[in-house]
Amino acid sequence: MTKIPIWVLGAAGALAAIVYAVLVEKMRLGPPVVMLGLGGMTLALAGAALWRVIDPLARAASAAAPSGRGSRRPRELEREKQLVLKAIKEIELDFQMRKIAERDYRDMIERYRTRAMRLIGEIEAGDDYRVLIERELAMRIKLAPEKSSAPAPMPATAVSAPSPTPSAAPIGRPSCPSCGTLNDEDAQFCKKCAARVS
Amino acid sequence: MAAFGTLTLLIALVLATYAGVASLIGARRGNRRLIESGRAGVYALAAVLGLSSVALLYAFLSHDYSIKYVHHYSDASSPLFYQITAYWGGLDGSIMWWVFLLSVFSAVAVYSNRDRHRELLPYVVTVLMAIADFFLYVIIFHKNPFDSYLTDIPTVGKGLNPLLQNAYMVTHPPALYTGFVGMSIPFAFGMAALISGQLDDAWIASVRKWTLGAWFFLSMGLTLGMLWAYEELGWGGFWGWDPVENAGFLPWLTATAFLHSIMIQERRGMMKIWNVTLIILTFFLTIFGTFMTRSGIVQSVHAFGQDTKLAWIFTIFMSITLIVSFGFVIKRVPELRSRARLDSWLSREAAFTVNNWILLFAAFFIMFATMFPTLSEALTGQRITVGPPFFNKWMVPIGLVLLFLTGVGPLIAWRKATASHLRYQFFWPSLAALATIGICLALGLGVAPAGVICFGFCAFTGATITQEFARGVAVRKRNTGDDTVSSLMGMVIRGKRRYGGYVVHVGIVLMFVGFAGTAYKKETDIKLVPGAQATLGRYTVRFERLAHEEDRQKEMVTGEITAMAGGKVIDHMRPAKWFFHNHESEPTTEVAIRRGPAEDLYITLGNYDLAEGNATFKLVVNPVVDWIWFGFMLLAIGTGICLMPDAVLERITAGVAVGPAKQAGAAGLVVWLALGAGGLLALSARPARAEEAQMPSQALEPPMPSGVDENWLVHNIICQCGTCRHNLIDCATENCGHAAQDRIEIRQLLNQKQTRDQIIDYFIRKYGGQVALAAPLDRGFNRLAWFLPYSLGALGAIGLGYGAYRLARRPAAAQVGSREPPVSDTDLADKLDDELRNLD
Repeated sequence: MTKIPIWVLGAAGALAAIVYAVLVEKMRLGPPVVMLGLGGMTLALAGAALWRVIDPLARAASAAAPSGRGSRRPRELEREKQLVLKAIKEIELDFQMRKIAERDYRDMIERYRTRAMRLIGEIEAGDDYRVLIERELAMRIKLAPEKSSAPAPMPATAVSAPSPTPSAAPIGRPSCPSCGTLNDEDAQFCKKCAARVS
Repeated sequence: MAAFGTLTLLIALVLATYAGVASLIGARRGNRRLIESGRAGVYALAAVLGLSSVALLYAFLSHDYSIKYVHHYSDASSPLFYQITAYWGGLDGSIMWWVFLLSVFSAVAVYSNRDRHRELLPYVVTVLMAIADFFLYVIIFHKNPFDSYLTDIPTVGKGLNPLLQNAYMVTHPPALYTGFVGMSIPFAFGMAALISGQLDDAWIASVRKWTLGAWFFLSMGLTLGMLWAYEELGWGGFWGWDPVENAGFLPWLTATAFLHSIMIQERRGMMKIWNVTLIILTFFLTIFGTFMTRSGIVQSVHAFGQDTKLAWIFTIFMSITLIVSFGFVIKRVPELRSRARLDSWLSREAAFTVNNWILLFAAFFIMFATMFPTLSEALTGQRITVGPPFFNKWMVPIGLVLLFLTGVGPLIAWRKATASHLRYQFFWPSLAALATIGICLALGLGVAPAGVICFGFCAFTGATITQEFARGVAVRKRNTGDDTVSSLMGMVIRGKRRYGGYVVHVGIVLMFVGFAGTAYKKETDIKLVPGAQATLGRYTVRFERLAHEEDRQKEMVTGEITAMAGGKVIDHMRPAKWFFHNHESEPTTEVAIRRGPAEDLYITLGNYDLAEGNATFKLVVNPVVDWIWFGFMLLAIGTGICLMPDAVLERITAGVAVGPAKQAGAAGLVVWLALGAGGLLALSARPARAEEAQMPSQALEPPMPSGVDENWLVHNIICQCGTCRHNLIDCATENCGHAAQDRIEIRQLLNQKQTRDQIIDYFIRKYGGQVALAAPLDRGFNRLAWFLPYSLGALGAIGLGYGAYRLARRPAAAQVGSREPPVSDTDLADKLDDELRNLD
């Protein structure tokens, strides 16, 4: 049922109702018959919708609809990125129209640029959350104030710092000898700088 | 059909309950199947309520008078048009229409957000279904539109009230309902954010367009209501501060505040508590307005009647709404509290905060004044009237301040404005305002100071917006090297929220120009015999004859008038009264209007004598009133720009290029102008029909008021015909007889040397209370009406000032920790710069 386009269902319902009204009830074509057609269409749509209410409950728990997160998340990020880019443009326009002092302008722009770059990074990383997390850790460690004499712990792999020894990477996932980027298990070339990794 | 309709409503109630509960449980337990099923329940609810609507419409079209609702609001002779619009003509059907719209909007909102806000959406569904459950409960158990006669089924319908038989019946209620119901969606998202704790800006971005769309339909509903009153009711005005008018205005005010302050949340992360409060209040006021019009708690010509049980049901629902909503707000205050601070009171953030306070105060004041008669009756046993003079006295200064802030907002800097900023931004607009005020005073418009100030502020705001466009185009030309038109189009397209908003503001300015014109209105009542003339302003009207005609539906009495100006004939006008069959005691007034950009000439037919051929006419000259309708068209265009999808904009920008761009840009401008002109033409082509009070038992000739006291009295005493709620001067030509009698008595009492206060006391004794007065007397309990709103406003201002003082003294360290660590990846920075360049 879910494979039948919804408009087909509606049209079929409307047609069935009109045919019933004209041929069985012997009604003349007019506003009441049109309304009956609308009623038939709505009835068909209601039936389809009720099916969709029951269908998930009838499915086995493991057969729940896939989240489709992989395809939806980049769209959300892209949308958010566009909003941030437009905000940057607006702030620049406000500054050129002398509505923001320079210090405030730099402050606002820095914040929005940080957000925009973070979003671009997330979009590029796709579902590779490990890359994202490691990059984030590296940046935060770099910025963290030195509170103790002990050296700050280094992350297992640092994105920005070159890691010439592939043995530092997690098992099965090579890191690039040139830029240190963590690549997929079966990668032969680095996805960032295209250097050979295997 | 009645049984089928009731069955669909019962199924809808079950579906709404299931969808809400399933979504809530699914969200709490992480059960995706329940969430999915609950979401599908929303779609099913829309379909089932569609079926209910079709069933009711079928009953109307097939003249099924076994259903009481159909019998009361339809008859076989009604045109098809009115048989359909009768759906929302009565209380029962209007509530079903409400919940049907809610189900459709819920389905659209859930479908369009199915890929986003996965944590929020189940709670959104729960809230929306709870609202739907409430309305379905009211319909099924109290006001079922499918209630039917068990015996003595009538064969003839009563027909729709003639007052409702006009084209505005198609547009005004649906627009208003769309606005009211549309506000449920942002409320549901706001509540979902509070319940789930997902308090970032994501929900704001989703609901902004919904709120803007609903706000637009509220604006349209209010404007159509004003047009309907102006063209149909025959008293020469367009807004009477009727409780039902106020019911539509209240959520408009808070929604306007919300639309502005979410900008601050998006830009600075501030005003989160304000924003959730405003959206809760907006939704509450939509329900409150429904409660006012359907419970009988206020007296209004628009009200559906009195129903104490319904009043209690709504009161319980509103109480639960407020308690639950603000309970969650209080729970989430620590997370909602802003880390950013207000740096200066000379900043855009501060201007928006003040704007919010004023809009909220205006809403509170109007609500209080509207409910005051009911409050007075409950506490003192005496019902009073709070009419236009009371509202206008306080709302005029509030409106002027808001108009001024509309001009200030775009000019003032973010965070902190300096003296040089202020000089640079405010110079030309201030000059425009002063020049306009000077011109107005030179033209003698100073007789109404509020009008002059309003024109001055309109010039200030208009100059602000012009300056914004001009400077924005200059900056873009410098940055991109494009020509002026391309720069203008590109600037509007890239900054559609900002510049669409400016166009909306221009519309508001034009509407205020129209409002200011009411201060210079001229009017007169005059009795004419055929061939006689009368003069008002620059117009002379000659009464030709009285015509009496009849058609299938009605009898028509028409006065034929020749209008002249400067000695030349400019128009032939035909004000009339129509008497519909089966509704002869409720004649409709056909207003004759000659429209012009500078002023309208407005004529209505009052008393008449068919045998003698003479008649009384009300002549009104309304300066610049049409700018209100034109202003709304610009408001619509501006809203359209803000809401326009990016895909459409991309298509337009594809045509905007160097060189031939001028054509594309000009074409775009022509499209917008054509839309506006078309809309104005459509508005100006309206036929006029409407309705007021009953035929008098005898025709009375009230004297024209003269002298300060008599003028004050006829404008501040309300006609007690029980229908119109207008003052004596506005009601006089509507054939009710009461106003004419009262005016004669006022003249007699003044001739007996009675003072104004003595005459007021006389009318209080005559009508058994202050109900005849347009504004409560400033004494005793009534002092509350004068004292409470402004004292609360003053307290609010003091609180605001104290809060600002505390905020300004917050240490700078509070800012640390609210910032994200900077991204030092140069690759990403390069990519960002590329994207920003491409955006141009």
